[in-house]
Amino acid sequence: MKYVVDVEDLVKFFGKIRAVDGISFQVHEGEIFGLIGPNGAGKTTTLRILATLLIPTSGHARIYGYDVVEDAEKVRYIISYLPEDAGAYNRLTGWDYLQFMASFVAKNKKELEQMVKEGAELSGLGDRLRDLIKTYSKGMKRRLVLARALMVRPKVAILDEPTAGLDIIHAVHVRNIIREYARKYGITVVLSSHNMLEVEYICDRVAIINKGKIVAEGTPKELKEEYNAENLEEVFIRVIKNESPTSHN
Amino acid sequence: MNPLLAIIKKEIKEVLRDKNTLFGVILLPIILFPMLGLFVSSLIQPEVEEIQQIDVAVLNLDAGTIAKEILSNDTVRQALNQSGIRLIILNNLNIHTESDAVEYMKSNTSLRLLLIFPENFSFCIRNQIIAIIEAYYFIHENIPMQEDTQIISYVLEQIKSIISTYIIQNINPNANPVFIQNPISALPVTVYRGKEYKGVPPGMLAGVFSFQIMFAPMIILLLIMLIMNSTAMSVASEKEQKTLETLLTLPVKRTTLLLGKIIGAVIISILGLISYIVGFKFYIDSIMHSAYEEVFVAESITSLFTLSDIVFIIIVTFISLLTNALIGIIIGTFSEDTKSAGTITGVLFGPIFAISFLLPFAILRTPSMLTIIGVSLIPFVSPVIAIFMLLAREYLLFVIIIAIMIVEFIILLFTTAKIYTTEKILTLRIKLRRKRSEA
Ligand SMILES: Nc1ncnc2c1ncn2[C@@H]1O[C@H](COP(=O)(O)OP(=O)(O)O)[C@@H](O)[C@H]1O
Ligand SMILES: [Mg+2]
Repeated sequence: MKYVVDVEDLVKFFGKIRAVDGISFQVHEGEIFGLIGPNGAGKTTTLRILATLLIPTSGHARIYGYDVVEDAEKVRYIISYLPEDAGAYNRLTGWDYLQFMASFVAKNKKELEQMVKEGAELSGLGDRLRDLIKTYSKGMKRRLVLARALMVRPKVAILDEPTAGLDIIHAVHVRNIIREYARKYGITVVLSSHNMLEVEYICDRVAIINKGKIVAEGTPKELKEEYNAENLEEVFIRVIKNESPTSHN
Repeated sequence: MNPLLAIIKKEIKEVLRDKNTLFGVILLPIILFPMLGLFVSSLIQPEVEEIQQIDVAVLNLDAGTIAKEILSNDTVRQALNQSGIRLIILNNLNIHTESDAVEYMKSNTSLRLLLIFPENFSFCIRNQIIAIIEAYYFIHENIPMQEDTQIISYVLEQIKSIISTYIIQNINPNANPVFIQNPISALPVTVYRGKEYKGVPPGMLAGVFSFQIMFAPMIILLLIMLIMNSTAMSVASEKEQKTLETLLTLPVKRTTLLLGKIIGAVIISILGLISYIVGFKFYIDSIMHSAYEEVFVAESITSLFTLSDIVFIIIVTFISLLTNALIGIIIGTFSEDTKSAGTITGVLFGPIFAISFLLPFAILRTPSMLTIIGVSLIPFVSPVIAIFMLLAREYLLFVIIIAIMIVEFIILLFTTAKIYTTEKILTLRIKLRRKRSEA
C-alpha cells in the first residue's frame, strides 16, 4: 500500500456540468494535503466522492486501498468527513451532539465516554457545551463540528473548507487544532480551501484546482519557487495565465 | 452502541425541544376541541324543514277503547292529514306486540316513527293521569348525521292537541285544565343499528355519534399533518445543517438512518395521539355533563365504535402515519431548506384537510364502489374513508382500502430507501431546480 489516498483520473458530471474533470493526486500517511482553488472549482465534489457520498462518473478513488464506491462501507470506518459549512442539531446541546455522533463509532460505553471527553476538549467550548447549539456563534459551531470529526481519531480526515467564514481568532484555533491533532495521532488530512494564503500555514502539500482540473501540485515552497511567486495566491494567478495563453487573443 | 436507538433518542429530543411541535402536539387540542365542538353542534342543529308528509306507525296496546276510538275517528284523521301526518295502524297489519312492531319497523326503511299507545291508555285518560307514549325513532342510515328531532315533537304536539280536543268533546269536558293541556307525555326511544336507546332523542344520539364520527378522522388528519410536517422539517433541516451529509459518511447503514427517522416520527405522533385523546376525553366529559346530564341517567349511549372497530382504526391510523412520515421525508429531501419545507407542507395542509373531509362526505351521499376505491388512492383521504367504511359495515371495501394503503406504504418505503441509499439524497434538490430553469 503506497498511498493512503489515491485518486486516479476522477471525473464527475452533474447532468451536463463537468464538476470534476480528470483529477489525480496521492496523499501519504500522516500528510496534510490541501485542495485549493476558487469557488466552483470542484473541491467539494472531489471531497464528497472521497467521503463516499457521490459516485464518480469515471475514474477511481481509493483510501487505504479500499475503493470509495465498491468498498464504501469499509471506507466509512476509516474516514471522518466535515462537510462545507456544516452545522449541527440546533435543539441539541453540544454534549448531546458529541454523544450522538460518538454512538455511531464507539464500540462500548467506555470508548464513547472517552471520545466525548476528547471532543469536548478539542472544541474548547467548556461549559457552553451544556447550552443548546442554536445559541452558539458560527465559530463555536465550527469548533464543535471539527471536534466531532477529529474526536474519533480517524485514519483519514476529510475537511471541506474548515476555516471558511470564520473570524481570525476562530480560524487560528481551527487551524492549530487540525495541525496539532493530525501530528499527534498521525492522522492523514485532506482539506480544501479557497483561501490560498492560509493553506500555506496548515498544509504539507497542496494541489491547485481550477475548473475541475489540477493545474499545479507540490509543497507550498516548491510551488512558490517554481512560479517565482511571493505566495500561493500569486502562484495561482500565474498558473491560470499559463494555462490559457489564448484567452487574451 | 446501538445506532438505531441513538437516532430515535435524538429525534425525540429534538422534537420535544421544539416549541412549535409541542404546540401542535399538546396545546392545539385544547384550542381545537372547543372549535370542533362548535363546528359539530352547528352541523347537528336540526334544520327547520318544511314537513310535507310523515308516515307514523302506531301500535295500539290499549286495553280499553279510547285509543282505538281516537285513532279510528274520521275527524281526527282529517285533522292529522291536514298537518301532513298519516297514521299507519300496525294492529291492522296483524301486529300486536311491541317487539313485533319494532322488528317490522327495522325492516321497513321508509318508516322512522313509531308511537305505542300503552295498555293503560284508557285508564289514564279516564282518571286524568298523564299517559306515557313511547315514541320510537328508527335511524336506518349506518352513519347518522342529522336526525330531525323536530319531527317527533311536531307529531307529538299534533297528536297531543287532538287528544286534548277529543277529551273535551267526548270524554270529560270538565277535566282538570292542566291535564287537558298535557294528557300525554312521550318517552323517546331511538333505535340505531339494532340497538334501542331508551330516553335518548334521536337528535342527541346523532349529535354524539356524529361527533365521534368526525372525531376519529379529524384526529387522524391532524396527526398526519403533524407527522408529515415534522419529518419534512427534520430532513430539510438535516440537509440545511449538513448533518445528513455527515451521517451518511458514518459507518452506519443508511436504512438504519431512515428507519430511525420513521420510528422517531411515529413515537412522536403516538405521544400526540395520546394527548389528543386525553384532551378529547376531558372535553366530551365536560359537554356531556353540562348539556345532557338528566337524560344520561339512561346511560344508554355508549361508544359508537366497538372494540374491534377501535383496533381497526388504530391499525388504519398507524399505516397512514407511516405513509405520511415517508411523504414528509420525501418533501424534506426535495426542499431547499427548512423554510421551503415548511412552506410546502403549510400550503398542503389546507387542501389536504378540505379534500380529506369533503370528499368522503360527498362520496357517502352517492356511494359507488369504484369512486370509493378511486378516492382511496389519495393517501390522506384513505384513512377517513376506511373509517367510514368500517362504520358503514362495508367490510370488503374496508379491506380493499387497507390493502391499497399498505401497497402505497411499501412503494413509498422502497422509493425513500432508494433515495436514501444513493447519492440522490444530496443531489435531488439541485436537479429539481435545474429542471425548473430549463422549463
Ligand atoms: N449536486 C450538484 N448538482 C449539480 N451541479 C453541482 C452539484 N454540486 C456541484 N455542482 C456544480 O459543480 C461545480 C463544482 O462545484 P463544487 O465542487 O461545489 O466546487 P467548490 O467546492 O470548489 O466550490 C460547480 O459548477 C457547481 O455548480
Ligand atoms: Mg466547496
